[in-house]
Amino acid sequence: MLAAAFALAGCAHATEARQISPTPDVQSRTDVGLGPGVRPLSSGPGEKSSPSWEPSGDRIAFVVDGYVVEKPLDAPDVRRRTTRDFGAQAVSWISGSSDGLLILGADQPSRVSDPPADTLTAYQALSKEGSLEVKRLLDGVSSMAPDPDSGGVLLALEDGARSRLALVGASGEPLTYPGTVEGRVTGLSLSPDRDQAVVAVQSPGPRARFEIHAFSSAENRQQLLARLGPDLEVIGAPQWTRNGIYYVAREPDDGSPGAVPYSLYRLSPGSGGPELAPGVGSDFVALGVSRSPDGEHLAIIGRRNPGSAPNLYKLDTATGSLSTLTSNENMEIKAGAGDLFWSVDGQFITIVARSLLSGPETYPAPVDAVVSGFYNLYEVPVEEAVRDRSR
Amino acid sequence: MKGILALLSGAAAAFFLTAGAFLLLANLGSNVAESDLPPRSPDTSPAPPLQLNLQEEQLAALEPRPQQRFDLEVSNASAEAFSNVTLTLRVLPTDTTLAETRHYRVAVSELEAGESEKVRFEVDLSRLEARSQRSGEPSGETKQVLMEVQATTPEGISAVRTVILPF
Repeated sequence: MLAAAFALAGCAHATEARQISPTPDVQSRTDVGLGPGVRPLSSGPGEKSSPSWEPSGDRIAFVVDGYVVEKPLDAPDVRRRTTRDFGAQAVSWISGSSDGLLILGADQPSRVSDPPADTLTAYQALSKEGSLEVKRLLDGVSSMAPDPDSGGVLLALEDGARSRLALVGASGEPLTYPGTVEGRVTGLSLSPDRDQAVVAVQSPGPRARFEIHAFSSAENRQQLLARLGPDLEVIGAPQWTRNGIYYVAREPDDGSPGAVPYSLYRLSPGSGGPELAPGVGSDFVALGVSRSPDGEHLAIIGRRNPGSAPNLYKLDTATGSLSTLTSNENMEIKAGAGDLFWSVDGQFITIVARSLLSGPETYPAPVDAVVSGFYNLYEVPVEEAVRDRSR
Repeated sequence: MKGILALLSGAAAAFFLTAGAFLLLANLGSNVAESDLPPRSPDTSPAPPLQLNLQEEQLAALEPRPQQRFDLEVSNASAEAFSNVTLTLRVLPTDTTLAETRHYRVAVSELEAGESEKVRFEVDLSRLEARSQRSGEPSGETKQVLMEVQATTPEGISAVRTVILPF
């Protein structure tokens, strides 16, 4: 009955063995392994990161394996915006210009053998239909933060041993903040009123320490807010909320069981210095944070305790109330600085996650339609009412 | 008087006999109707006519090397025979910047209704070229190999499975 074998294939009777049931891989907002109401926004293989919503909320851009793509939120049509060897690390929409994307990438279009560079270059993707052309904007970029309210992107630029900030809008012309800071900016974000920016800085030299600084465009000054202990490292970007500045710090691992290596701190006016963020608990392991557009809430990727699964949480910074937005059991969730993105209306948070695989896994779908097996983007409704409507 | 009593007794007996008969018929009728009801929660989705069955132990035994034996079973769950079922297998990396894909194909000339056929591919699962480690990228993604196997009939009936092998 078996007729022909082509290529390298052959045939024989296999021994009796247990059949494996394919893992359901749903695309709907029913259950994708992160709880009710969460739905995937992308599918297929590829290392995805840096989700960024278009200000209108209709499209989303992200990085896949070092190149940039965009797609409508509710359709699978993916449009590539750079060459595949671009070496992109982050992308953000610039409103006010049609199809405007700001891309942070390698200094030159990278080759797979290129070593990682110390600083990156900011490019603006040109909006011509089908074009993969980009316009070089700024060199020496160490980090960036989107400013969805203004439709611009805040950049930290290295200038010798010092760093300065610039805001890039639709025109592509950077507006430089007054003041510089000694050291390298490792993460930054804007205050809710956008008059100030908060940055994490690694001071130069053999005794490098992390510091938190504020830049004020209105008052034309830059100010040191906190200097961390010699063993502490700021992870990601500090977040300026209406009730203080929050940041994640990694502490030295003393090897003791149950140690909490990543903690969430708050700097608030009159507190006298950083304190463990109220509301999350002393066992909470914070991995990544991002403030809501209104500045009242903080999205946190974290673990309730060192042994629990990571989940997405929302912290009310006024009351200290912590709500769980996902119910994850077997997914790993990215917690990089750009992997947590609020929609402009504050109704949804986009995260990047994939299933933890302990062995071979099968899916009843073509490879491009598989979702949970690869790092993909998921939209998480923030309010319970939205989650309930989605069930 | 006796005649009247006999008439009343006869009428009562006739009434109870008739009522009993109706009750018996009603019960019989309801029993028949209940037994004809479909199950309360049936699985209404029909089984796919073409099915691919993969074996967990066999997949776990695969290694990232050439000349690996990948066995699977293709089944015809329909009521009609299939002719010329083609099975194609793609082996590809998870890194979408890499164009390298390995293709394999096997044909089953006849698959009778209700029958299954075991098929073997001999595949090269050696590591596909991994990209350089750009800063900030986790290294785990490049260690996976993907297999996509698809069975199709000339009539357009198909089945597909994707396997992620975390080497």
